[in-house]
Amino acid sequence: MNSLGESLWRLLWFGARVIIFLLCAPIILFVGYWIAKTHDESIAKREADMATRCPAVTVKRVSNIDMVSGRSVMVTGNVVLGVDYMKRLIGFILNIVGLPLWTHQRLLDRARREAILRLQENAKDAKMIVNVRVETATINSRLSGDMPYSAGFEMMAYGTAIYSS
Amino acid sequence: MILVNTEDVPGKTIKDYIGLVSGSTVRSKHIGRDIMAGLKNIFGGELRGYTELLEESRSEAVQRMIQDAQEKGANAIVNVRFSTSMVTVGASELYVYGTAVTLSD
Repeated sequence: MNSLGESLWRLLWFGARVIIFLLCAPIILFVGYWIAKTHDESIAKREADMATRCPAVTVKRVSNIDMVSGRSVMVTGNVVLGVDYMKRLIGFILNIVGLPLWTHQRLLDRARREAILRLQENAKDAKMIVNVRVETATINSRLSGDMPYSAGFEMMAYGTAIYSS
Repeated sequence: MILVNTEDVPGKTIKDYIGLVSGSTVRSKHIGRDIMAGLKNIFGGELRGYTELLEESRSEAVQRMIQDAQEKGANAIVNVRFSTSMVTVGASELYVYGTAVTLSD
């Protein structure tokens, strides 16, 4: 009798967790989608502002500006972004089936653009930023266990800003 | 101390190459950042605690590299590169390295 009560209790607890999960899922999905969308719009707006002001290039030597008369300083810009829980679950399923992981693809794209924008904002009065490189790192990633995940991804962009004086 | 990530400093000539200098730091988060990051873990978005943590550790690693170069008698560091790696869950090592040179000007 005791074991019957115990298994009933466990079934009830499992059912409660499923119900809580189903109730929270649309909230998490919506909030995560809204955060990603507002961030994307903010990035697009800042990219339009920054387009003409301070180009960030990946070459080492530029012929059309005078590189020698000013000073050059190394500047960096970085950001750490994370996906919401539902996107991580969707990504886990996509990973099993073998489809492209658009969940993390969009996140890394946003992170890269944000890092380069912060690099340009940190070197606001520079004529140009040369030799720009972008490094990626995972934050708090658990690679073993039943559901491997990373809590966040860091993108760091760095380059040499050339000022005119 | 001039820091650039190109191979030479624009407008200046390199007199002498001293060698590789580097700085590194291993940092982990504390509980305050962890709780906020735990919430953001569910909803997504920017983990600002981690961004600040990594910025602080980056400036500390760069300071150590500058100190290393000053001890060796350099006045500029060229070709600076960064490398981040996770050493254990919750802690990441930031390693910055470059070539210490003396400039002639």
